[in-house]
Amino acid sequence: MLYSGPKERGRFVKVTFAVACDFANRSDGGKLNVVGIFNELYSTEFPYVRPEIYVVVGYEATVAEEGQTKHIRVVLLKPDNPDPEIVSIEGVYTVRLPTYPGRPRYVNSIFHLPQVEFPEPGDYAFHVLIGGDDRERVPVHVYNPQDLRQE
Amino acid sequence: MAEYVILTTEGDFKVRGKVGRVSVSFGIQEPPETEHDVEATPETFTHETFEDALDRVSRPIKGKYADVPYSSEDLIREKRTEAQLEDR
Repeated sequence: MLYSGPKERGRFVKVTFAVACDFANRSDGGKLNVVGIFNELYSTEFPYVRPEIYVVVGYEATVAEEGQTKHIRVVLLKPDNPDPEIVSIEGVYTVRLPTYPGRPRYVNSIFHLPQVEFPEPGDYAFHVLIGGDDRERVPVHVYNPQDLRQE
Repeated sequence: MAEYVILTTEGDFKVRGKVGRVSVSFGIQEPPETEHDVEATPETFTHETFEDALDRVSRPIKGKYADVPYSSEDLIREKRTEAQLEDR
């Protein structure tokens, strides 16, 4: 029996979760360790260069998608910038056979981004796009604590 | 603005932007070699593992906030205090 129901068929790889965090790795057996999930950053100096950011994304591919190639793009945007793109990472992923026949294939990816530069305080977000479709958004609001105190 | 290609086990990934050397890895959960799944235990996720993870997390804020405690005991104590304050 195929695990994919009627609603799932024809859909591209599903993004099951996405987070930005301070550190992530995989333990034995492939389990994810994710430490320090955040949506807000603080700095008194700009441009603010964040030493390390990890973006962790989980995907679920149905058995019907085996062998298909998917264009994956993770992009950090600041929508109100004239050039909104801060960082862009893109590539192609080929869906392989699931571990168990007929079951979905669960895949995760860890994007390690050192020295990310935030030019100014404001509203940023990591967007996860599959095949050009915006599937998940991780907001990152960058604040200057001095501005907050003045308000 | 940097622009380069990195090689991963799943293919090439193009990086663009003001960022250092990016790395990308894909993974799946592997079936356990034993009969049953193995939960994280004190043997597999030790105090040292946790401290190491915390040290890595704390690295970006060391220096600027050098006085910020970051041992696991300090973190737990801090979180308890925060929870108590939130409950008020």
